[in-house]
Amino acid sequence: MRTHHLALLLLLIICTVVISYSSTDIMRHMNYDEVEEARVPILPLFKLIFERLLIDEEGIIRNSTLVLSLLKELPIPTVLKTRLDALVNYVSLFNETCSSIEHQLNLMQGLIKEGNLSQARKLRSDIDSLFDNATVTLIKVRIILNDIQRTYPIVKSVVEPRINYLEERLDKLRNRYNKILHEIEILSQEYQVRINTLINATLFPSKAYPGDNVSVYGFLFTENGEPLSSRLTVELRGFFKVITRTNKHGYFRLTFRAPSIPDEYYVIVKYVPENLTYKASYALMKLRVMPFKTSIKIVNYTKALYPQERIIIEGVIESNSPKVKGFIILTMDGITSEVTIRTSSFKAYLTLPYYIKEGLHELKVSFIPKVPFLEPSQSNVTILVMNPPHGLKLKVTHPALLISTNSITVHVTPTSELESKLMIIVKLVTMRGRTISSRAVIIKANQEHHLTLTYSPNIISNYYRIEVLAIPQNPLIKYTRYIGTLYIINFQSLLMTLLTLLAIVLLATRALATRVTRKPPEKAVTIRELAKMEAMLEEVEKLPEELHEPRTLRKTLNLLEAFLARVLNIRFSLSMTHREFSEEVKKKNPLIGSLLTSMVLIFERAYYGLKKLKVLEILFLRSAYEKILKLLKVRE
Amino acid sequence: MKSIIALVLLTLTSASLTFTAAILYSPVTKDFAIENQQWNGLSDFISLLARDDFSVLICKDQLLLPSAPLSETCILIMGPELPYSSDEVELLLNFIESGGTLILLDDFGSGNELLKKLGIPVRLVGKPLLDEVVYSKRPNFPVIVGLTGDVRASNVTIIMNVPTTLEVLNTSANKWTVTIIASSSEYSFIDYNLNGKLDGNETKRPYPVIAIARRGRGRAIIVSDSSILINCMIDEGNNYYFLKLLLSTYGVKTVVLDYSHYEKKLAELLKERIVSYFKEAEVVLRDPLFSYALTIFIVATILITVHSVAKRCKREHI
Repeated sequence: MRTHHLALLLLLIICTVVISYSSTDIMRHMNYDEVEEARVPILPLFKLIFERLLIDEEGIIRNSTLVLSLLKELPIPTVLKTRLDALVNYVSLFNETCSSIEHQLNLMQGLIKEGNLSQARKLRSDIDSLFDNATVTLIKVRIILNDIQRTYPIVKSVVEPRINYLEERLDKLRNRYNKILHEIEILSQEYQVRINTLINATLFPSKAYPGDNVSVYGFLFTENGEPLSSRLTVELRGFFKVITRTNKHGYFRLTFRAPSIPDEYYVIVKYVPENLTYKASYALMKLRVMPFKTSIKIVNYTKALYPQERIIIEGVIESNSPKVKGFIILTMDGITSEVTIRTSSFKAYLTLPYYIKEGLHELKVSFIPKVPFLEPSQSNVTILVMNPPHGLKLKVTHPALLISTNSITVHVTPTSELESKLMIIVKLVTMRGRTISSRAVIIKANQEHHLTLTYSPNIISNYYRIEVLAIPQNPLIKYTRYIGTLYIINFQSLLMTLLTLLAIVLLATRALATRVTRKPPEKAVTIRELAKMEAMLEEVEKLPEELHEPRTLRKTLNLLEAFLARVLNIRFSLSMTHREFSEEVKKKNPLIGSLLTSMVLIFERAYYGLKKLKVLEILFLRSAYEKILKLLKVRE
Repeated sequence: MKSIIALVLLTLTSASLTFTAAILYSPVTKDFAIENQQWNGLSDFISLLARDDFSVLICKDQLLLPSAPLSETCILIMGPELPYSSDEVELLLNFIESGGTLILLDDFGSGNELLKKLGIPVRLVGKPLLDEVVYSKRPNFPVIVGLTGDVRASNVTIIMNVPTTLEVLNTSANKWTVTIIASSSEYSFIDYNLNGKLDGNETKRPYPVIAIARRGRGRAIIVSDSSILINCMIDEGNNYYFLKLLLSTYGVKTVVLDYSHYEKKLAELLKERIVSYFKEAEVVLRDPLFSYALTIFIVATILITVHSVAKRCKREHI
């Protein structure tokens, strides 16, 4: 075993020596990119690409195809190659976008020269979009460049100025674009120097019904009053646009049909000059197409009825229009009903609610057209609502006090002379009127029913209202309502309250119990009652020998005091101190009292003053105790 | 014996109190949690919204709409984990049709299910989008440059955090009109086999990442990354500015953050239960019956204590 260990140790030493001899210096760590960078001269490569080949000082891109093919051949890290490839592509894209912008700007300037300002303006959206694309491409170029510079910080000085040239090129184009826009504005103002023209046009009639013939006529003049013979465009916005000509007197006339939809329309007569001598002009006229008037003629209607009964109204819509289509809406005291009509005659219904009051009510009958060429109309009729002849009695019983864990059970007995079905709605409402829970059932009259109403157990303890509403289905019976109150106690609160009250009772009981036990005897025991004193005497005689213990001393003193109180018939109370008790004893027996006072003084010094009792003091206490007992003649 | 019982009771009480306090005050680390101040939380986002005078409503248990006008309200849903019920979908549809703005940010969550239920012809592809060139630090943090459409802004850059892409479905007679407002760069690709590299079947091209689907008077904006607004991403690029731009474009003043569709951990459930118990206790405390009893108890305790102390002092007086 030992030989084996020794051989192993020897082998370990030999290995260590061999390794130490064969070790070489540790090379500095280089990552892959650094190794590649060490092989390829990065800075000259970037100088070649960006300064010599790709971007000139005007920000124009050249030889991009050559650079891309060059990148394919170069032994540079793949990551760098991908980024450079993307960079060159984005730069080329930027170049193309800038060229497109230049082309569009040239086109814009050409249109301005021709005086076609509106066409020039139309190019704006295309150019704006091209500028957006160029900006986006440049931001992408910056992102790639920042990424390359993180790995190869040395290239920043080469690439950064070239990218700035691109930005300068874009800025120049933007400035040129702004100048062109400014030029358009100026030319628009210069346009006003031409000879003014005037169209004096009239529309007849200016208010028409759908389909009526409408004429537009008038004259075209120069500002000097000379008539102009030229083309005019007459347009009714959204409907038609026609070209007409003025005669040698500058007169024109056009007749058209009014649109079928009533609204306000604009008729525009426009003069667009064929040469640069005159200015364009136009005349704008308002055409109002009015809807056909309608009126409601009521033929027949229900004049008197009970609540819950149905009003029937029959009538006719009078109008010039051959087609009548719309709604008849009946409204009375906030209740509405609607009926669709397709012809001029109609029959509409409105069911009265149970709660409507008796008396005369005004019923509003409205016609709301569904087609735009008709005007709405309205008519009123008076309806008599009669009081139902039969009443309904409601007997409701429910608990007055409830714990929130229980649901509310309401006993409802509706009684009526007539048999009818009733809808009973039971609601639990707060005193402020907020509904907490409700339930609706249909029952028969003259029968007792039990309805259960559930609610959230988290309800706050308080008074709540129970509302019971009985609505008979027979209109000859009047509805009735019952409102009662009940107090709901939250179960959790009740539980907590009971626990709290229990705690109060326990505390109070304890306090009272202590007082009862310490209550002094109502009758003092005389010395002759020896039989009762026997037990106490036994205890007193078993006094501990070691009185130097303060606790023992206190117990002794307390026992002695209790004994003396009984024997000497002294009223002993809890509020009495040892000294006060000694004074009381002195009044009965001065000798015992003075002995007790001396004992109390020693006790106070030891118990409250924390003084250690001396041997003499202990002896004194014993002798004083013996003397007191002798003086009482209890002990032989 | 009494002292042992007292000790046991004291230990149990203090342990319960410590446990409750630990549950209530333990730091939140859940993704997209508004109280979470770690990298994956939304605490910074909420602070920024408050700073910019947006009123924020956080729906923790149920998706609800505020009383503010719907056209000025935006519902923000980020990486939902739980499906939406038919009632919630109906609520969202009514909200959009009434002029509201819904912004759904999701990549690999249950967003597709919601899109399907809403009938929006846009789907989240569910595979990561990588960019070989236009990225921030790593290819799975692609940079999106420029916005088109309603929120036209060429100089906005959004840095995404492991996003996916959107796929617009070709469905005729759909009530939704979809417009792509942002796409990834020409060097991005979907990493179908999750190897982090461009393979033969993966194509480099721009992929849509943000789309607007319009319906009625409102719109739903779908972003294919759920994390652009988390604490570690909100300051990257113009991420917050992008959201602010969206909100200002559509006149949004109230942001409703839906936090009711995330799976809850045991600690969160315990926390919610404890809070609900506290609320129940509050109901009992507010109940007049218990209030009276408590007042009587306190008064009685004070009186009894004072009386006992006075007696004792007198008895022990020297």
